[in-house]
Amino acid sequence: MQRRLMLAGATLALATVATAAPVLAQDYPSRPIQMIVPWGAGGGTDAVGRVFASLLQENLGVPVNVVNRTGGSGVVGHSAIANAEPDGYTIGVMTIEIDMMHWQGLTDLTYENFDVLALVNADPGGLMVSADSEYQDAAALLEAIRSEPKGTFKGSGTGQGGIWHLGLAGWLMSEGLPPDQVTWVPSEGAAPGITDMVAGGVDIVPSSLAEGRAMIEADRVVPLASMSEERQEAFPDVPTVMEATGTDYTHAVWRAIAAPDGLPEEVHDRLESAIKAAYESEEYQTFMQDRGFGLRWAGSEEATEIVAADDESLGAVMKEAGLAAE
Amino acid sequence: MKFNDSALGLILILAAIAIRWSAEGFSRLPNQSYGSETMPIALSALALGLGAYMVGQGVVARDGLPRARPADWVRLPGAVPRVALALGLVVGYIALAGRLGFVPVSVAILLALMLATRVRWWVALPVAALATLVIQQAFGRLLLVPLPRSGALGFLW
Amino acid sequence: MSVMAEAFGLVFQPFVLLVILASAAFGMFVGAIPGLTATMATALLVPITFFMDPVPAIAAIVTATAMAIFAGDIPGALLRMPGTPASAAYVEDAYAMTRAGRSEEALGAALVFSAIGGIFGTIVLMTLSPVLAEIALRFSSFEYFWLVVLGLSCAIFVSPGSVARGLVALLIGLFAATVGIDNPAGQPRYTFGSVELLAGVQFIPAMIGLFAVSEVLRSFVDATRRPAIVPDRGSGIFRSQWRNLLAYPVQTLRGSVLGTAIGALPGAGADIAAWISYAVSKRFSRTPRKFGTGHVEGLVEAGASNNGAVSGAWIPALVFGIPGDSITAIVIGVLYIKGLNPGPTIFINDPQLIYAVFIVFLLANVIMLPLGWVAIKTAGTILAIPRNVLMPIILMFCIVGAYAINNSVFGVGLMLVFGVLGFLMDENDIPIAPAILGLVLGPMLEQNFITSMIKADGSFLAFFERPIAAGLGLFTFAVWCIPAVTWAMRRRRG
Repeated sequence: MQRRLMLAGATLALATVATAAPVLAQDYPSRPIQMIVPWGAGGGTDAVGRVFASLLQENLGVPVNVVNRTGGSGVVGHSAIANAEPDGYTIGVMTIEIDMMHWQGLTDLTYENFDVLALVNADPGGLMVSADSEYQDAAALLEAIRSEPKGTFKGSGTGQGGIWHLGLAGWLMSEGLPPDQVTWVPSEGAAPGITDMVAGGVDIVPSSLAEGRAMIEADRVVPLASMSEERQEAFPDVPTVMEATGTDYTHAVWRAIAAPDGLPEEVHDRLESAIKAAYESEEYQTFMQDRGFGLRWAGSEEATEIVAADDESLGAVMKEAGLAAE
Repeated sequence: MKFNDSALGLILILAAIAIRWSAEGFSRLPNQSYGSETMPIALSALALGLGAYMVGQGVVARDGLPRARPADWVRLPGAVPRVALALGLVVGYIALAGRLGFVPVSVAILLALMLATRVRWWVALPVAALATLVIQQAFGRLLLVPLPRSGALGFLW
Repeated sequence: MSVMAEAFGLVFQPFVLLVILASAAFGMFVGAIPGLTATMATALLVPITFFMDPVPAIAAIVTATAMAIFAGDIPGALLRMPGTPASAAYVEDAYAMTRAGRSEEALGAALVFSAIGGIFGTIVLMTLSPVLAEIALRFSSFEYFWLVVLGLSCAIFVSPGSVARGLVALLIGLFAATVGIDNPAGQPRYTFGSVELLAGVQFIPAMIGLFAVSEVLRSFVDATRRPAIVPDRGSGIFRSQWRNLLAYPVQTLRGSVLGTAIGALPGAGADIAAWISYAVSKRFSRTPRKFGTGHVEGLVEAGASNNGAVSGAWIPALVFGIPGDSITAIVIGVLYIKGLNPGPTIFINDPQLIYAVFIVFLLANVIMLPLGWVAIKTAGTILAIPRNVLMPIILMFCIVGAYAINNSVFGVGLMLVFGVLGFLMDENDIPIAPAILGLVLGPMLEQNFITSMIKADGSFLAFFERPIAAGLGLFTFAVWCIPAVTWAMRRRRG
């Protein structure tokens, strides 16, 4: 028996002889690339990641594999991107949560740990109520929220301190109300929030209108306003918040393609141009329009600025709403 | 390890106390009287009740006071080292696969386990190699799972 | 009728049929490997369906998922490694049948009754979708809370051995489910500063550990022991199924109905359906004591139930664009890309396309029979491999399966920890299945309880104010009270 165990140990030791060969930036890309998606299969971010993966694969000539690293409100997946080798063989979809999680004290990771390659999508928030609601326009809803006691109205659509929670809190603040005038009911996403609203569980869902599209078309959900500067192409009858209540308030989520900080310059440029080509492809454009997702392009430099600006403004809302860590 | 009813009950009671204590570190949702501590507190209450019941039952029943004894298999020849080897090899995979790549580590683990359970080496060697190849091709190529890769065997991709 | 003819024309084309066949084989393969899920099979198909017409695209997904869900029963029956939490409900029965040399009968039952449940669910989907979707929309967190409590209660009452040990297992699962940040307050719990633990304990690595790794470890205890798994002794895949159907017609129907209904609820899926059906089967069985010892009755009912649920999940997805489970969440995306926008109008705007999808559903469940036969025969040969060669290979599959779920060795570590835990639990007669269900449903339980309390401003009465919630709540209490009352009455009489 002892001899067998020793033999077993010896084979394991033998295995340690193998070595890894270095990869040169000039040959980039020479092997499969992995694309990390910090959210689950089936969601919007996953869809965007998968479309980009198949388009990049065509452009770069190597397989681009989508890997879902989910959980922890996005912290796990974003950490996996940031902590990968900056050799261009690991990229990922970065979402707006990167500008929130460090304020919540969940991680030290910020956008500065990434090389933001491009912004490829933006979806404005909205205001939706059930078709049974007594308030069928945003002004009436706002008036009721203002006059009824705090906590009478309940909103849902993301977890506690999630992006749509901040969107609602920010809107209430811009209307001169306390950010917790509407009680937030945490949910696992926009779809469960909308379902719960239709079932009579909550009153408001402030998620993007695209997420409520099927229910809007089924006349179960009424979109009251869009938190954007202009009306959305897919929802031409829905007024902006400015038009509906006279307050200049916008709130949007975006998705970006990012790599760990410290990419070699050639690799960065190669990736950015491939992403631009993918963005401009007909497949991507029609895909986004069919899903009802907003198209928005910003190259590496501009994208980094947008991400930085959101980091600051979201931090301010979170501190005011008591959602940031002390 | 085999525990009797009262020993399991005792473990539950201790776990309940630990969970209850840990729940003190969790906070409530703003303006609510519940939050992330609600579930742990409920679980600790359940564990406490169940533990007390099991201790009570155990003491009343024949098996009496809390007791733990090693299971019978421990006395079988070579059993403990073999189980330890299996556990150790999985730990070895966790530690080494990223550095050495999937293929060599997998061959080594399969070979080691088969030799430890008295498979002839001339059977074990081809089986280990073939199984590794099948797993690597099925997962790595067909299902696009990015198995840890090693430079020397990169041609397999 | 011309719509139907058009729909048939869309499906019965060489290319579409080829796609169905290929994705069936693919789904069978993915599902049979422990650790790979039907969701994963679907996600892998999405980029391919991108370049197809609507009908073959949807056909590929429908067929692959139906096969993958059935194929999850194969490692469950042969090696006690359920491919999905849904097959975990009856894994003890199936594995006990395998050990008695009846592996083909067990898998044949899983296959045939899966197909029956699937076909039943499809017929409901075709005829009653709008009505059922309407009812599903009335479920809010109060109703789901009771449904989860009901499912968990069922797991305790069906597990062999004492109720106390079943509860211990459930507590282990529920506690493991509290790890991580995905709780209503969004606060990290028991993560000890680890980023990976923020995501919590994922059930696939945990399930592989509890069931499969513990079984592998046990095999190393005595390397010289003669094989505990015996090859099939000619029980036949299909031979005994006609008899099973005649013996358990009520069970088959009940499982299909319950499965489809639970599947149609957006917040509940095949796993709860299988557990509740298994419990119902045991409760109304004339031989409840045989459950868990290799009795086919529960397998028939729960097997029909979980495939009914897979079809049922499409009801809210098609009618309201609400995903019934993670698979339909992906499907909704594909539907949009193909211009088949979900909503009540889908039945009016594109009837021929939607009927073509239904035909594919039926076809997939029929084609499952011959393909499943091949898969069972092929998989059955592994029982002939000597255990000391087979077990190391299985351990390697476990490692890769646990790794593949998140592509990180953290999953392997998780699998190892739960493997040791499962080994200890087995040794102490603590059933494993309730721990898995606790882990899967724990987050749902917490989420629905906390959100209900917030909505009700802290009033417990609200859990009984809505009619469906009140009904489910009273039923749950009845489940707990009836055994206690009958026990007390028997005692008084005795």
